[in-house]
Amino acid sequence: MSDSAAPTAGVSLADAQAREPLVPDGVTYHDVTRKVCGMLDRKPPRWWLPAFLFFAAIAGMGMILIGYQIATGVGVWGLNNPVSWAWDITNFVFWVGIGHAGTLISAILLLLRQKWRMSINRAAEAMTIFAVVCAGIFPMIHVGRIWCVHFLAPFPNHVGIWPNFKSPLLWDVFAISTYAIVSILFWYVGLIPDIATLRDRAKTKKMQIIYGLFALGWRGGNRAWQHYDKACLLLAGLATPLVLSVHTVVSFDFATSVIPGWHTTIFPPYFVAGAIFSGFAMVLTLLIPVRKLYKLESVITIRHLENMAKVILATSCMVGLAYGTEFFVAWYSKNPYEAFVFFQSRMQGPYAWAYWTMIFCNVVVPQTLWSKTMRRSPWLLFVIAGLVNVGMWFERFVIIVTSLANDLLPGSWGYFSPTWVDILTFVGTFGIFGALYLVFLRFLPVVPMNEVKHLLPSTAVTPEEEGTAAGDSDDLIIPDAVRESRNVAGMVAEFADEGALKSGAVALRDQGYERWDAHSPFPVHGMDKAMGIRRSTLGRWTLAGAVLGFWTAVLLTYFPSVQFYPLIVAGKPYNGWVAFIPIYFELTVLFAAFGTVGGMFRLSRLNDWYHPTLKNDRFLRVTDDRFMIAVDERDPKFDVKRTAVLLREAGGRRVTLLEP
Amino acid sequence: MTRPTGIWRSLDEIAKNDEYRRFAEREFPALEAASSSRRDFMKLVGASLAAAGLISCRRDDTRILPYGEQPPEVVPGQPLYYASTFVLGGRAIGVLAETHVGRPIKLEGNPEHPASRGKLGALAQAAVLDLYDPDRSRHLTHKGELADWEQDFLPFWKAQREALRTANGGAGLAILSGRNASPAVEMLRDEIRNGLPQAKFYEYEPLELSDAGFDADYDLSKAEVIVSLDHDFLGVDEQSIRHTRDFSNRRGGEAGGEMNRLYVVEPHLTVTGSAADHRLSWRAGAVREVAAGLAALTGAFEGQVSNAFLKAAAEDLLAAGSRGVVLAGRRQSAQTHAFARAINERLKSRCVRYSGRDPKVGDIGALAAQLETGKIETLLMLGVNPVYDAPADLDFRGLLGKAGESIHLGLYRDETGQATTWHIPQAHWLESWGDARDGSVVSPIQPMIDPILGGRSELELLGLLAGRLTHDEYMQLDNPGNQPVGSAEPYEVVRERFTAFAKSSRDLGGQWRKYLNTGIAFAAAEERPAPPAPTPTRGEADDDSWEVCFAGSASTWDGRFANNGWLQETPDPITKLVWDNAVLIGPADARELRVKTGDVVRITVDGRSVDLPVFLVPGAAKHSVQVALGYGRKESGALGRHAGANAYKIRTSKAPGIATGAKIAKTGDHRPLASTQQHWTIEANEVIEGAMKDRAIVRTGTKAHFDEHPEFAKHMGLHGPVLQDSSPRPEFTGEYQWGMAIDLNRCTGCNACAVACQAENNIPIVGKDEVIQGREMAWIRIDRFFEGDPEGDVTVTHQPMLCQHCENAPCEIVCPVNATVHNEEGLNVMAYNRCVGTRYCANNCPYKVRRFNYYDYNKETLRSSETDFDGDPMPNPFAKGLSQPQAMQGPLDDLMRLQKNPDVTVRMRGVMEKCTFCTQRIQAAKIAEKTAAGQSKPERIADGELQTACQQSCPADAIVFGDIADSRTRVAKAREHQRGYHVLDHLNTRPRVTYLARIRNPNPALEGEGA
Repeated sequence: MSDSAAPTAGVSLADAQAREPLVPDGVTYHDVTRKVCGMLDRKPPRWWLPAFLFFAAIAGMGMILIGYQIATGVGVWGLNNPVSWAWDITNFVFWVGIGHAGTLISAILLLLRQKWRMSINRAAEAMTIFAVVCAGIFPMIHVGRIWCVHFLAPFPNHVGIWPNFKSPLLWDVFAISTYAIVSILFWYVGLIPDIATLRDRAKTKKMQIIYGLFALGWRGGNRAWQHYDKACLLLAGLATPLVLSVHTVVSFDFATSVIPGWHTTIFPPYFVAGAIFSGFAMVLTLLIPVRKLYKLESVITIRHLENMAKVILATSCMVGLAYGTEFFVAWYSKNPYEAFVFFQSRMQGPYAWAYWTMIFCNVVVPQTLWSKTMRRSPWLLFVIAGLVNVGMWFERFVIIVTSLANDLLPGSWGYFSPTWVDILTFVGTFGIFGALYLVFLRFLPVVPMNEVKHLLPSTAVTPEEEGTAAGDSDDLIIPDAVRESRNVAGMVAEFADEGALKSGAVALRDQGYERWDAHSPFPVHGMDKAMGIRRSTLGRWTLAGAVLGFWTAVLLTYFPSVQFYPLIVAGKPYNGWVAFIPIYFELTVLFAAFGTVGGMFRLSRLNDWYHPTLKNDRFLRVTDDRFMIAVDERDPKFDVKRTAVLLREAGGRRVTLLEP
Repeated sequence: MTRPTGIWRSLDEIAKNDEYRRFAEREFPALEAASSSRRDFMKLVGASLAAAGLISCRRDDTRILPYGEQPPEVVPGQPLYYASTFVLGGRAIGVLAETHVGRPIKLEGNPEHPASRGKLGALAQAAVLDLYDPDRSRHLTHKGELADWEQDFLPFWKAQREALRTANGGAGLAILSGRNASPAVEMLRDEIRNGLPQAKFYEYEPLELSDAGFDADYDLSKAEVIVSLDHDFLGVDEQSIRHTRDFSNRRGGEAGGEMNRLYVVEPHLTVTGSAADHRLSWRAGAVREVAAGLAALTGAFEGQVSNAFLKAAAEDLLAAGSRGVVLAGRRQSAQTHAFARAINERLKSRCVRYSGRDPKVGDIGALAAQLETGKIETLLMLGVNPVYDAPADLDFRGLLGKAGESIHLGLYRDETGQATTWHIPQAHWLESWGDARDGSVVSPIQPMIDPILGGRSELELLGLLAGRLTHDEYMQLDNPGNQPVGSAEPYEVVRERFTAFAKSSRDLGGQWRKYLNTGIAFAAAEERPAPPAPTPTRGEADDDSWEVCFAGSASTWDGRFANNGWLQETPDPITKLVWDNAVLIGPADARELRVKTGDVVRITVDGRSVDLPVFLVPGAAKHSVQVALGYGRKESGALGRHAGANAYKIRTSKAPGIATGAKIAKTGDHRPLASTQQHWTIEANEVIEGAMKDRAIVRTGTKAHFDEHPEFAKHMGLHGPVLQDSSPRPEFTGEYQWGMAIDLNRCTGCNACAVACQAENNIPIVGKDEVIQGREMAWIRIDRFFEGDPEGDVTVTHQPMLCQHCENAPCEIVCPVNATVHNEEGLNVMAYNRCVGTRYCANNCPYKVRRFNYYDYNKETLRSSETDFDGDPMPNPFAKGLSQPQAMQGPLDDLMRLQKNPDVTVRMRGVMEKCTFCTQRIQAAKIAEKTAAGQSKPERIADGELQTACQQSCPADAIVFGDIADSRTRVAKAREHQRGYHVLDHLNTRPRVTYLARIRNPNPALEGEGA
């Protein structure tokens, strides 16, 4: 595969058609499959194993330190009396922030119909999940008694008290776990067609079974694509507010407090912008080397990088604006505590170095991205993205530590310095992240093949394959097994491209066939109409989940807080429903996502791992680059001769009977 | 192991078994087997628990009587209080010891005793911990070898007495002790003098830093104008409890009321200086000139003075007349004392009484001279440690070699105990009988528990020396009561002494019981008129050389409390230093020496030197540094060994209080110092000033301003709109609504509350390294705020800060597991079992009063540096052997565990804790009312009947606790007080703790001269 085409000069932003293509000309469906799956088929590149061992070793060190910390006490970190949170929560917020880009790219850009997202969203989503894993470690281990952490779960436990649903930390529990679950669902749903491709290409029985298990019997039939497409859209719709909510809720940890420097109403948008900022920077940090190492320049093009650079520039400006707003408010409010935090403690105080590092990395450095040359040079972008990652870590550090170290009463002020355990535990999470990412690169398709194929022109079928297909006989192909058993499960026919598939479908539809499906490597536009099937009813499942989730949340918060254990907490009313809104929201989204995915599985009958078509070798290429129609023998209109003729007349070739 | 009563007899029988005897001598074998197998460990734990049980039933309940009228039964869970007496520097302080099933766990002031009046300072509060110090001496030794009391020492002692008596009437006998307060000791001394007329008695208190030749007893309860000439009478002083009470009672507090005025002239900030209305930073060596000037202005001396400060003070004094008083500091020269006395006599001050000392008792200089001659054959040292704390030029260790036999009775086998031929473990005062006198009041010292680690009392040794019989011998006599020879058993001695001053011979038993019950009896004191003061002279003018001021330590006193973890971890009231002493130096001097806090300097005085880190403090006089004594102990036990450096090394008998002409040189070393209030260092003071300016956390005003605007404090700080709760809040339905008020006008920052809280609430110590990390556990801390120019005169305000029990508690809303919530009585309660340790509550606490157990502080080894300050390696805590320090194995050593208050949970690691308003005391008070009421409706707890530990110990009575819902209570009135305000009330936290603003009473004539 050739390197990406040179940038087209003078592209007009207004003229979308004139943009350089996201996939270079001449790339076929099979090229995409070969390219992406080739990464997994071949032996791993020489650097993979050493790199994996390196990260695994760091991860191991991190695990050992976590064990040491749990066995000895939180005191092994540098925390102290005024500064009860430092690196632990800094790292947590840092990783959660990183975990924003993946779902954001997939969900929001999907809703906005930004096609350029397609070749990067898989890698970004994986990054999200691994970042959330790393993020989840810190709130878990930062508690003093990890063996009691189940007290946070909303079920009656042996201590007999329910959690405090008014605590932002509990909102965090709900927000982060919902985000993790929905992100994993979204990622997995997106993976299903590609895992099916892997299953169909598998060379060993073992790999076939493993991939087959996760592919859930996906065969690329339009009756599944129909729900699948809808599910992706619905999940994107659910994930979009979720992405925004996660960092909003994380920011509540600080914003709802009384500590100057934390107690700030602009935190939610500021945190979300910061999260997107750091998330995109991390995507760049990962993709630029991966693209180079796996020679994916044709799939992940300079245009992708440039678009991401623009997002980084925009969010950098937002973050800068937020910094400025904080100063304005501190000055305008005439509140001496606020003014002290922003003008003295942060700018001139003991942590001024951290503060100015943050400003340099987050506000100054990204300004270079106004230059197109900068945006289009991968290695410069790599450096800038790295600095942004550093800057965003310091942002969290500055917010958390400087606010706590010098807060309201000067009598209690202190200073925090990290211990080696603090530092190496953080390093350890990079090991976990890196090792997981390398496993992902090794065993799963980095680029969503079905989505990229969707982008290709409809003539992208491999030419030489076409040639052999054309030479086939017009006779009905009857496999030996069918001949012997005289038992037929159905019939398949191949079609040249999307158009041919559609005309085939129209023919069957007009003849009133019912039990059949049109199979393709990606969802074909207008296929529903061609097949004459109704719109997907998946939305009802989503709605049912949402309603169930909302009422679950209402009852879950109301009964313990008002009926069972009315505790006087901070003088708030027992039924402080305003404080329960984050929980209502998270559970509504979570259950809606469950409804959507469950509904999709049900409607697409995805739990059928086996189907007779999977015995047909050529049918297995549907998940690569073929278009086929399969008719079930149970269809009342099915008749071997007549159906075969109909299919052939509609443009189908290599009409084959299926053994049961 | 011979004790008289039945209980003891049965133990004696066991004790005859050799194996048990060895076991009992070691007492807590589990300690010595820390590294053995788990199985062994379990065995030993079982054994030591059994031993603990034995100890707890060792209290001799046939002899001592509980305080008040209660019957002496011990009810588990029900504390019993016994009256006893804590003696410090020859001054008696009446205490009540709270005992639980025979274990004393906390000391409180005896309300009947004039020195304490129910209050107790930090040192006395902490004394109970020494009782359980595992580093205390356990073995009688002779020349370093284990020896036995009955087999080795008693025969030796009798023979020695005989030899002394027959040779030359005891001319070779010298007895050194601390300043005596005990009438029983006086009696025994007379008996000894009868038998051994040539025997010499000596007394030595290391903190009596100079000798004026007479004693001054101050009574500040009537004083209107007080001028302190370098006298820290509210701080490091034997009588600070009494002085604090008397001083604070006259601090006024109502607009338009009367208020005393305090002038302080001192080289370095002290607790007294921080209470001053006018403070003058003045070189200690030049205070004599101030005294002379003041004397001149008051007409007690001739001379001309134009200093405005002195003029104002003198005019004030003259105006106050007999209600004015001048106090001279303990380290000040006889000259300064003479001037002060002259002024007081001139004023006819009713606030001071001068007296003389026992002329038959010599001082340490005299003893040194005697030792030098080599004529001392027997030197008996009772509870003193002169090898460590005697003036360095005397070379006491060398002198000991010139005595024939030296016998040391001490709580620890300390520096002196290691150098003497005999060392006898001393019984702690909570383990022994005794008595003490305070003026005309005599109070008993009652044993709360039999000596845990063995040990003898001073009275027993003296009694034997006086020719009295041991208890066994005495009991073998026919009709012992009628024999001419008495028993040396301390109980008998004390009782005999009591009989001597009993009012009548009628109902001696009843009088004795009352004496023990109430803890006091009255007996006319022998009047010792003060010798005339030396004629005051102006003396030479002070030069500009470096002066070193020696001071006692608020934590270790003269070094005797060096191994007390509570005191070591109690922040110094001014520097907030813990676990260390340092060279206190002003910022200007520090610039001159180019040193910063923590830089080690070498101070050389007359060729003797000591290395110490410097610590910058404001308000220091020029070219004057101050060093606390009582640190750098070598043989104090493991905790004291870590702490600081020994300033006695440069203190000579020529300059025991103030050394001039010192050389101070930077060594280039650095030693981290642990200060609980770090700020950003004093160099960044402007930033702090800026931060403090508008915060109005401590609110202060002058008396004139207060009289004019009584509610001035309510108008300070942030004023936003009055915040209303947007939705109905749950109501507090409890019968009581607890609240507290703290009067900053009374608080002197003495730390009594902090140590009382530590004792009451089982608060662990964490060690120096953890304090440096910022992890001290104190539930009540005293924030100290400076105002003014750090290089000139600063004013200091102390603010005790504890959980404010906010009605809208920010900590509660953020706890994800409801581990901290409010109860119906308005308490912010912590459910330790429920806490998972997210620490979110601590972050969101605006007052930062929550404390997190970062480690299992109650179980683990103290985290501390590997070497002590002199670079000597730490003793290996796991090594076994004689007098091996064991406290390093952790404060919750089996022995230390006995001190724990059984009513309070001992918290584990990973759990947040904080002030509970002594919820256990609240419950106890409620239960008591219920029990008293029986079937009928319980009475309400009366105001003042229930006290929190901090309130109870506060000598200034600055803390009031009670029901705020009842408008008649003191606390409810304080909440409505004109000076009342809430800290950070703009956050709408609605604290239950009210602070009353501090009022200063500057002399209008000195307005603008700095407060």
